[in-house]
Amino acid sequence: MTTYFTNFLLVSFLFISLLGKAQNKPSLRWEPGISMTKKIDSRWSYNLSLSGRQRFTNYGEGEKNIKTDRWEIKSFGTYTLLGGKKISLGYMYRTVDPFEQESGWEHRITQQFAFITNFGGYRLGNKFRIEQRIRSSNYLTRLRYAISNDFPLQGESLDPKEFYLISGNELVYAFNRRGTELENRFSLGIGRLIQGGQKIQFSVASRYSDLVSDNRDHIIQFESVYYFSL
Amino acid sequence: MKVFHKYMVIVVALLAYASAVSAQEIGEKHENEEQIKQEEFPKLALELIKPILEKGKRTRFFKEYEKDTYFFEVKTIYKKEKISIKFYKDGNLLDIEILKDFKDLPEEIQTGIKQYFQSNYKNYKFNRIQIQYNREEEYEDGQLEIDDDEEYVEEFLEMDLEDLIIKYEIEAEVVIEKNERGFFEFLFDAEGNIEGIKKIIKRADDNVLY
Repeated sequence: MTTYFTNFLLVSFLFISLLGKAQNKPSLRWEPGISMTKKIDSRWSYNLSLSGRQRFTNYGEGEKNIKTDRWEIKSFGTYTLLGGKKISLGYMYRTVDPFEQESGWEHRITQQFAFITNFGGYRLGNKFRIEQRIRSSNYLTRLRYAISNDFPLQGESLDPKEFYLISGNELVYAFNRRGTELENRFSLGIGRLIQGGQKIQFSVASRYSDLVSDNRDHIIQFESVYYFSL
Repeated sequence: MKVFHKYMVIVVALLAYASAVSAQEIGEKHENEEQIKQEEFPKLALELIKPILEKGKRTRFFKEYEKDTYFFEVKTIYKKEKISIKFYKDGNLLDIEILKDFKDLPEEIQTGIKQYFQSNYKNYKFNRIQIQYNREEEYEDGQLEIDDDEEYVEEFLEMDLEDLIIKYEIEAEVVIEKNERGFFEFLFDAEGNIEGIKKIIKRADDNVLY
């Protein structure tokens, strides 16, 4: 009981401290998604996911702007090494502003290295990503590192019908010929294991883009994902 | 663009169908653990391990469901050792375990266990090692003599290793010749000989990975 309460306090304080830095009104968004994982054998698995993002307000002045600003389909092939280290290759197709007259697109290729470490009894997920983003507007390379911790709220193992908390932070460094940008994404969420590998997870992410300049934008994004495995 | 949307609708429908099918195929063995309050723990068991509870730190109480029955378990730090004590649902003692590092095991046991893994697997990695202290069962004049719970706890507290049966429980990830990998719980006897293997089902990490 104490463990998850302490954890929760810690992440809440981190979250509040980040909120305190807000200079402009954040843009509010909601991204629902569905994610399917299929284990092929003890080494190989693949994941397919679909998500769409709904925007409610713009950042800056925070004026209303209700629209679907993207739809995307993602797939990953993953190979597991000894010690639970995982290497993945992913592809994503995204349409930007699908219902606008001028919509855009993106093809994204991702290379990922992920592993889980245990630190003081906590399960920490570490994820390194390199992305090549080929967009209708321009090309961009991104380097990402994310760390996350998830833990069950009842007992030490996550059993069906039980809830878990998840928190994480990610640094995203993007660059192309025109310049560079650094972004921080903090998220806090709650999930529930339904049955047979099915989960539903709700989270809120606080994203600060352009950390290297004063022109900082803030996004508050609500996410809801249904995970299942075959 | 319209073609893409049509495609999305088809994929969503297929995924929803696949999910409905997978939901019907549940039947794996699963241990279910729930943290409970001390008041919900059998009084008989609490009384039995009173000396451990009095000095134990970060003590937590659990109820563990397995198949058609359940067990009670206490996890605590006693004299700097991470101990877990498991009881039957009526409060009678089942076993006592201490969490250890591999290097803390006796050298000849380390050698025996390493040899077992080297000769049976292409590669391996130890994740969690526990020493099990089981109660002694011996035949005296043709009669099976089993220590009662009080004697068992007393022997454990005194670390009376002559009257306790020691076993080594190791959770490990292994790779077999065909390059397949898996997680198992291996049980070795006091001499380091293999006694049993159980498959471990790991928690999914799809929400952390993608």
